[in-house]
Amino acid sequence: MSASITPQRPWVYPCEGDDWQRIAARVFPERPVEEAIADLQSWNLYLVFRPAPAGMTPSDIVFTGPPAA
Amino acid sequence: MYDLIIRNARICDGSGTAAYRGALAVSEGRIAAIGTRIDGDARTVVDAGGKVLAPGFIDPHTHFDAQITWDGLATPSLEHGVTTVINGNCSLTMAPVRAEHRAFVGAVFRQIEEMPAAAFDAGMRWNWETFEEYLAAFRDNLGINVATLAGHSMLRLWVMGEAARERSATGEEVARMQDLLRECLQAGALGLSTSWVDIDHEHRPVPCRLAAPEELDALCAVLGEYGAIMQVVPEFWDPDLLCARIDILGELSRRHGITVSFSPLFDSNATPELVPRALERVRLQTAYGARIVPQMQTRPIDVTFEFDVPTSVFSTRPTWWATILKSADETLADFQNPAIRKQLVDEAYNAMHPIAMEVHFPDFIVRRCHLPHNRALEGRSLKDIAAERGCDPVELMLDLAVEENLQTCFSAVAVGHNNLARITGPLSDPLVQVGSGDGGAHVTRFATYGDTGYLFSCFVREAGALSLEQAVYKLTGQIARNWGLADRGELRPGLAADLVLFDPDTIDRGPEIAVEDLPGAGYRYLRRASGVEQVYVNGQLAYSAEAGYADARDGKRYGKIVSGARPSAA
Repeated sequence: MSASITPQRPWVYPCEGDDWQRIAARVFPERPVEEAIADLQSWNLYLVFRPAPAGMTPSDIVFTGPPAA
Repeated sequence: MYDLIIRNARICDGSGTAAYRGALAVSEGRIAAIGTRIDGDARTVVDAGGKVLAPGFIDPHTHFDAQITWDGLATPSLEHGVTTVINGNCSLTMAPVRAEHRAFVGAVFRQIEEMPAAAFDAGMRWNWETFEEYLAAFRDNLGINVATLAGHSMLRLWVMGEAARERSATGEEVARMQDLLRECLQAGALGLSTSWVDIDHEHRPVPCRLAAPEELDALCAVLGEYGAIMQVVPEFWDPDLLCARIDILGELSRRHGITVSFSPLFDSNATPELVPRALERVRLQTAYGARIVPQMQTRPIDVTFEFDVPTSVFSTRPTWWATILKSADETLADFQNPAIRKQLVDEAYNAMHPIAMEVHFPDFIVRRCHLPHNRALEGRSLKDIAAERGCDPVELMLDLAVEENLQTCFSAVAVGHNNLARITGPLSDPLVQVGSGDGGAHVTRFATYGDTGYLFSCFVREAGALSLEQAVYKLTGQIARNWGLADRGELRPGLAADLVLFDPDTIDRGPEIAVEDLPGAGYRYLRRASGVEQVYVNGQLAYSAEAGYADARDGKRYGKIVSGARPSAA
């Protein structure tokens, strides 16, 4: 992400071996994990519904905030 | 004495400046003189009759990587005025590829680019491994200029083997990929291509998608050393994802001083806000010093299909998708099973549209029929035939498919990127480059040729969105500048004499037709150009409407390998 241009929507890259639980724990350490996972998944339906065997990859974008209203 | 003089031409020099009546002279494959008047004589003198003389068109997004090894003309690009094609897009190239990876690379290429396996296998010789060997395999048989990107997926595969499909690279592996990219650039690669989208023949992400951000950053650093370009396929259907990708590209461009081009910039009725939002983001990044080039195709998307191969038209209709994924016998049985048939008809009318497309089954066209007594249906819509027969259009499609043992070919026409009112503005935006044509790919699905003629017929003549000079600039000078093709793209003394002479009142892409000209007697869809009168490649007549494609002279053809990348002065 650019240091000088604010992203339109916050996001992170997954780390090697990440799953929803690990991302939730890393991005929202203060929140209950199940609740954080539910939010993350609702903001990233394109990853949730990606057909197997194509799982999450290190080059994917994982949104960590909702879309603009 | 010049080799060639073209007189009495309306010269559009590719810079975007006003056209003027004049002449152009060629010597030894290069433009020797250009102006309102040229004195002297030439071995060949052509009277242009007031037609437009422009630089040869450049097609920046093609997949002739396999075809170019058996067809050095990249047909039918030349007849559409294209004198330079840029291959190797979307992370996929035919080199560098080790012998043990040929089967995998072939399968991926055939899957993503929809090249028939029989044609691919009959045409490919695979007598190379390195990038340099690949270029040497067709260098002496070119009738068109060819530039080739190095594919990120191939770099990974070469360095990491099967692990390229499974994990991120180690630091040592990234360093080896950097060296391999340098080797490709030294051999003549134009830049690097990558993808955040594509999947392989086993529905797994292509290898480059397993790259951690640091890997792509390291490869872009090498591009910076050479002043080379990167092409990428982003999630082009989702505004939020695309804008985030544009930010990533902006950062890479600024950090390494490189140009990045993404394709496609694609309009659809599902997300009409996407293109304006993406362009706003590109403008912002440009204002901060990034060089980001969105590529937009000129034509709407058509999808042609038979039921023996899964096609994305059905991807959001679960019963259709499940049925088509089965064996042919099972699909035929499902199409005749009353319960499943009812579900299929329901889903045809009541389901979410696939990504970036708007699909209406009754509008499907019967494209090709297998049985002679059905051939009268070809070219007609299901809706039209069903009305005549008093039946449901979807039932009709199923009946026809069953009767013809799934060999009937249907077309979903203009299912995306089809709103002219929304496209004209962005297409004429100075930041947007014409591209994403996909020449050489999807050959059995739809014709990927003639976007050049369509730019003039649709956007210059019909919509009036671009002037003649702007359209020529978008097919020549703009692309040459963006992609670092310093020797081409404009009509100036000293530059390569790639020329196209065309009638601005009639140039067009021609109708889509099926032609059996692939190796192994395979067919493909293509278009025969109209209004293109002569095409010169490096000063030699390569195509004329009167005589067709020029034969090789003296055992040689005059196309060249084009490379723009050179090590930057440290």
